[in-house]
Amino acid sequence: MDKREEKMELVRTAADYTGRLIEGINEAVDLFHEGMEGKALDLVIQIIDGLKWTMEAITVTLDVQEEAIDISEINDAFNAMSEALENVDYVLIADVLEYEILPKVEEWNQKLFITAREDS
Amino acid sequence: MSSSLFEKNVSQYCKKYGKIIKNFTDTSNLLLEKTKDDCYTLKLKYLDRELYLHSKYSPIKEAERFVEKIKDFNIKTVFIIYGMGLGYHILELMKYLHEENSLIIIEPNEEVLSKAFSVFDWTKLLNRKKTHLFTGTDRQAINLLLGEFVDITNAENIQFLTFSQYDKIYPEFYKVVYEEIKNYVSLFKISKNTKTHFWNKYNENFFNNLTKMVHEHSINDLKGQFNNVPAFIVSAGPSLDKNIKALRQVQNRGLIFSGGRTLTALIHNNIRPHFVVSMDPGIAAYEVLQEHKKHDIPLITTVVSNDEVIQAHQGDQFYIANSEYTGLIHYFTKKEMDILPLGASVANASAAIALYLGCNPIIFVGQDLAYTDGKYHAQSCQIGQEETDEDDRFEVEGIYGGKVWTNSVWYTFLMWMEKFIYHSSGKLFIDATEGGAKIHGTEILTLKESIEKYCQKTFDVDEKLKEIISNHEKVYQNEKLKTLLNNLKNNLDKLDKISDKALKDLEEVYHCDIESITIEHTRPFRVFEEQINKMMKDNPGIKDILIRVFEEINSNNDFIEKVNETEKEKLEKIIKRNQEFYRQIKITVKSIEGFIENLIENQLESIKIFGARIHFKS
Repeated sequence: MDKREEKMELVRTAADYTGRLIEGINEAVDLFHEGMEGKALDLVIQIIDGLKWTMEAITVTLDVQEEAIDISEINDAFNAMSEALENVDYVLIADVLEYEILPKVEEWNQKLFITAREDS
Repeated sequence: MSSSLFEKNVSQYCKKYGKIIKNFTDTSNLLLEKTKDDCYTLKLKYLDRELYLHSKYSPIKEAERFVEKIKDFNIKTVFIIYGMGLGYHILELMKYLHEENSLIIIEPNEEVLSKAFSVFDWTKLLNRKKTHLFTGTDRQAINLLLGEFVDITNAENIQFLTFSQYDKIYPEFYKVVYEEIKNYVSLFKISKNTKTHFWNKYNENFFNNLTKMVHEHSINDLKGQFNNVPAFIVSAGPSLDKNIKALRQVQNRGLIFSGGRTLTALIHNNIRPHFVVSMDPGIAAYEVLQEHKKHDIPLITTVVSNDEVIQAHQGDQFYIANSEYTGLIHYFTKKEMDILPLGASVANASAAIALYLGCNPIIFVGQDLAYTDGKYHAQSCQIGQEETDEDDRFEVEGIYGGKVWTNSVWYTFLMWMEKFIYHSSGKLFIDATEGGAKIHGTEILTLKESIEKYCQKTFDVDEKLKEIISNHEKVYQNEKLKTLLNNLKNNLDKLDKISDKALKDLEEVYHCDIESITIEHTRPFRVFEEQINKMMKDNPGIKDILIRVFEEINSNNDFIEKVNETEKEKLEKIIKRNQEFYRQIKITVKSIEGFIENLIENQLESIKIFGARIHFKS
């Protein structure tokens, strides 16, 4: 498998993975709204790890992406999340997940799928 | 944000609750912040953190979600919302509420409420019936408020909902509210189960007590007869062993009220109480009397209390009415007989009776309501081995500070007593238990101190009782009673026939295709209902007999209309409700007729013999 093929494989994996990440984020938001903060926070930890992996995958596949993804766009959301986590503000954590992180991940998911489709 | 809006809300609030809400304009703890969708959110400084009470992106969407997740409610659901915030969720919820729904909003922080008052117009909410906007963190106030809204018919139909992260920001009061709701729910569940469980026994007791009831006294004969006489309510708590002997000093300077369980202990200590109070409908009330079942100390009891206690008793009896038997009492006795708030224990009831008699102060003895020294009852009042539920134990404030262990049943008694004391202004309540749980509203003294301080005047209690008893004419009316019983039985036969007809018609409708049923099909049932209503109006005794049927049916969530129900769903519910209603009537009629027949055949005969004995003596 050549380098490009490897990267395309990674794009396809990342496209699928971000789909699952979207489900996870929605689930965490629901859990916060249902008052199950413990379970929701467990998910948030997994979401942050998942985002880190996705951002690495995006970075290494930048040159094969049809529409380049700018991962720095999520920095503000990360800052907001870190502030919300520091304050243990469940309302704000859910807000940041839903209104800052989710739209970005949805956008990445679409762009990754476009690249994956173009190649196939 | 507007100051005129704030003033409008405060003025309405003040009109309803008689107090104002301060306008917290200069506050650094609470900030109104514009949201991304041009609404407002609230940011609260909490300890060293900053927390949002609403979404800072879309509080309206958040409110819609809050309401969407509410499931399984109907038009009688009581909504208790912990957290008002700026109130987006309240405005959203109000769109779905039926006028029958009760709504309690609890906002622990008055400052938050002042912000809500400056953002939205709350006059519609404040004008709404069955609504209370509570602010503060006072346990007793929330207890009293819940008492106004929660009752036996809706205790299992409560939606307690926490808004946002209010349970994390105000956790102590959240715990208080949660516990108070839990206590009310369990109190009414127990009460409902007891009622259901004892329903038949209540009826059996009523009819078995009837002959004595018509001949003996009404509690009204004692009303206000012992003004400012100290009353000693003797209970069987573990501390009673410590100070029971001191009660000998009371003599005729106060009234001693005993329950069944404490009677033996008092007699063993050469103390003759002035009244024995017996409330329980079950056989346990008879068994605790041990070797004193045939005592002749004046008995204060209710029309539905245990029949064996009443039959065995040899002295004068004073009957308290029961709210569900007033029609029957009037039908049979024609006596004025008051209903008293009797609570859940003999001590609760005795306190209410003492107050009714005019007694003051009311002094509690042996009212531990706690496992003092790990014991359940006083040694002197213990009967056999007592089993306690190890899982049902928790700590409450003790009489001498610190904590003592109690259980949910005692806690229910305690809650009732505190509420009773709170509502009995102008009377002095003394806790002379010398141990156990703190009863808020009481003065704490030792029994010796209480007697020394309050039993200074001699009052000839026995002479007063003799006077009351001799003023009452005991007129035997067996023939009249028999006629009334037969008339009631004829009415019950008629009820049975109506129910048969209704059930037959319902069966036919039930087997039709539900799609083809219209409101027209339910018209004939209204005729049956009207016939029953007329019978209840003509004879309030019939109303009493059917009251529990109505209660059961009306509090059954399966039959209560849901908000936004379709016509078909409504119809199906009406049919099922009616079927259950007439089935229950038939069961009740059969059971009451059995008690009437038993009374006519057995007891009225024995009264003749009893009557002859009285005649022989005179």
